[in-house]
Amino acid sequence: MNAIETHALTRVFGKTRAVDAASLAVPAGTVFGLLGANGAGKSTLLKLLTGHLRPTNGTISVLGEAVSGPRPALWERMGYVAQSRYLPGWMTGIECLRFAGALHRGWDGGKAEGLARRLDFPLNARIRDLSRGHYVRLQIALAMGHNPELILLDEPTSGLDPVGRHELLGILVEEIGRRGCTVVISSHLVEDIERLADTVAIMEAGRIVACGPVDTVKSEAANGAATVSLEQAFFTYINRRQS
Amino acid sequence: MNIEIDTGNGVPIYLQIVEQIKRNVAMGRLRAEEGLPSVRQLAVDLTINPNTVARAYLELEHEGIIYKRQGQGTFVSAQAEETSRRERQREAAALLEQALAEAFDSGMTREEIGELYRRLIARYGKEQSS
Repeated sequence: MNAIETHALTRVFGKTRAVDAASLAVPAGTVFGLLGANGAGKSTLLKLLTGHLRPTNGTISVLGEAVSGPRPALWERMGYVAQSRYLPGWMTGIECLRFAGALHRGWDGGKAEGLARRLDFPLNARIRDLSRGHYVRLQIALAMGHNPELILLDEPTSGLDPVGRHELLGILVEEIGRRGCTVVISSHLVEDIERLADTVAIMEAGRIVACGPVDTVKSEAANGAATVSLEQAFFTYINRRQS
Repeated sequence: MNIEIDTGNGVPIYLQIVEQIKRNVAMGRLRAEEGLPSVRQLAVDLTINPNTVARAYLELEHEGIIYKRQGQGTFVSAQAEETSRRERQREAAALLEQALAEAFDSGMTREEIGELYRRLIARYGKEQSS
């Protein structure tokens, strides 16, 4: 069963096709990595999947439900770590977690606050005063507190120091292992994707230029030659398209 | 047990685990009947997808290096050491042959190669026995 399916998904902003005819399938219980340079369309694709953006064309199915805009009932079943700051700056972290707890039916307050503590998060600081690293940590606790079936993360490790990045990846690995939930993670850091993903899609200028199991994408890029790293494969695909 | 993942070298991560567990067995760092970490634990330790660890364990199980005991975990099998050592010896033999081809190709004579070989083996022999 697929947790996510899109068909010819397209989103246009003015003259730009931010996502261009993207068709993909994410099997339930797997980790799907979205790899691309900044501006490749990863964030737009994720916002289409969560329903925060409406598609211009094409279809989306998430956890068996059609999505073409906001679906609050579906948000109960997914967690989303955005790249932009959207949480109210005047709240403190602990207020924000409890507010989320009041909104979500299946909220596990102990888990969320435990995660926040483990991540060494200043629960009583105001959100507007949080560093990028702390803001991401708060979002992680918010995204996992209701034990969602699907977690979408938009560049969660960007702007984190190596320690923070290692911690965050560790928590993700635990989450994947514990419940077999489906994870979609975007990154421009190839190593993150190589470590975590079962399947990877490489995006460039809104299009998916390669998609498949990580080892398959690597061996196809190698084209019969010796093995290549995912990073080398990434550049091979990008260059093939540009030449 | 000592495993390090290198994401830059192109070898699939599951294969890196398979090879390094065999190496640990061949070098005596993992003994027969010794328990391995759970899939989840090793995934957390190495910061990699648990599915990848599961795939590596499945491969090692197929090769008879490890086996599962119902409800107790995963263990190194009795014949693992012998299998791993033989595999390592095959790899070493292949490397030696490659080095020999390289030496002839560089223009070294049989005598020069023989002389070098005797010197090297005398040195390594000493290190082994000390």
